[in-house]
Amino acid sequence: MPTKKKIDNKAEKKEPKKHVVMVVEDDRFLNKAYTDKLQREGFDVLVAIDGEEALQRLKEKLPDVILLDVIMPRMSGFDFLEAIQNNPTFKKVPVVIISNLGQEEDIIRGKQLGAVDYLVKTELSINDIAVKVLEIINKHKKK
Amino acid sequence: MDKSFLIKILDHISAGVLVFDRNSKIIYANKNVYFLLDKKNRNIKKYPALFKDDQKITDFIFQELEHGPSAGKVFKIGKNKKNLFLQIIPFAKNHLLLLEDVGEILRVRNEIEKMKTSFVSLASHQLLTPLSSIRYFTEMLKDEEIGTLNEFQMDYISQIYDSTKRMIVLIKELLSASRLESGKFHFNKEGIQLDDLVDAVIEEFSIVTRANNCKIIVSKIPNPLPSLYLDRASLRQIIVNLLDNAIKYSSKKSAIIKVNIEINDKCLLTISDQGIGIPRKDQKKVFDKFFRSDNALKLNANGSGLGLYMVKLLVNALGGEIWFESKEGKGTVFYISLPLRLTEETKA
Repeated sequence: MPTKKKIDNKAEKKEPKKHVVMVVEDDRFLNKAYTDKLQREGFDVLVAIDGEEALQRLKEKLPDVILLDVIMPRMSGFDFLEAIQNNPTFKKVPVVIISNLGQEEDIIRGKQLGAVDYLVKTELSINDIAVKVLEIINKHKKK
Repeated sequence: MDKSFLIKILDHISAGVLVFDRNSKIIYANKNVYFLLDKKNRNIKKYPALFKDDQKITDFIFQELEHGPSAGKVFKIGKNKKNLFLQIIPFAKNHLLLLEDVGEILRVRNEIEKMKTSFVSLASHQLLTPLSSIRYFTEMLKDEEIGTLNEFQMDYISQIYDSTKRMIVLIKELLSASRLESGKFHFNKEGIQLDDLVDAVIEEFSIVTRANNCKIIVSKIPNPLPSLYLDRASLRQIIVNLLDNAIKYSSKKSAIIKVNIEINDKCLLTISDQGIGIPRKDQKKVFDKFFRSDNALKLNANGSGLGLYMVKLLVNALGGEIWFESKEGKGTVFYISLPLRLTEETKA
């Protein structure tokens, strides 16, 4: 059994501030799984059930990273990525796609639309997802 | 029966019926022969003239007469490329040629295939979503993130977790098989060192091989091996599925599994085991979808029956061939012959 990777989600020493993740997922069970896990690992979590709601939430608060499903009602993950390209502030937020669509053409399309990474749900543990989220936040901060 | 009545019947059936003699002379042809072949001239004396633009059809007819008839074949015939089923029935003096328009049947079959593929893709995706959440919640329970579990609770949660993972694998296999069957699989050509790939897969199986007391020995000719230019994911899946079977169906302690790679103008991959073997009565069905032989079921109730089916689909799609030798109680050897590189024709 592979060892579970630990998540070192320490806040900055001088002004401790939690990292903010926006979870964009229409399935309420998956939504809860991501939210519970990420909150336990020290993240603040914003939730949207599809791309349209995610666009609205972005206007209220900018997250450090967006965890984005693809197949959703009203506005899909790909449509959301296209929509944020028109907003110079929104498009700076790194987006990680997490989907069960795992074909090469889906991955290429996601990255062409600006996603920084593409995760396939069934290939990762929930812990791997949390580790990945923190990696992306830290990588993006260094830039 | 009255001959003229028989001819009336033949003129009214949808099939084309043609009788010719040993000198290829047409003795009788109903009107549908000319209709199906778009021939206005009904004074053609010899049947090859009906197919003068389609050499492969006259070759087929010749083969059927020389070597004995088959069940027939579908050809695209004529200017309009109609899908016509052609069958030859030889007799002592004269021979029968049957033609049937199967365009509509093929069209409906293709529609059904497309609907099946869409359904499988949608169903698989919809099934994978709740399975993903079951997996995530059981992972968090197993990792005791919300409280410690006693031994029995841990055992039950582990059973749920393992079953969930098996279901996910099964659905993904069904989805892959469906895509391959419909020709929607995309292959990527890249340089592959097959021995490195085999070693990586063996490493993945290391815990299982230890638990099953198996040893895997790899040999290669030449050393070092030249690169193959094929699809890595497909090659990996082929090796995984065959090694998984070899390990799973080992009946001996200290069983040895041999993997041999030989590359010259083709790549020959051989995987041999000392396992339970495949009973002779089952050997024709081994590559069938969902098939599992009785001795395999007795030894190991788990398994989707898709492993070898997928291997054959992948090998064929890569332009290769697969065959095997097996003796019940002794073991099995699988041979996979692959081209050295993907070409436009070998891509799915």
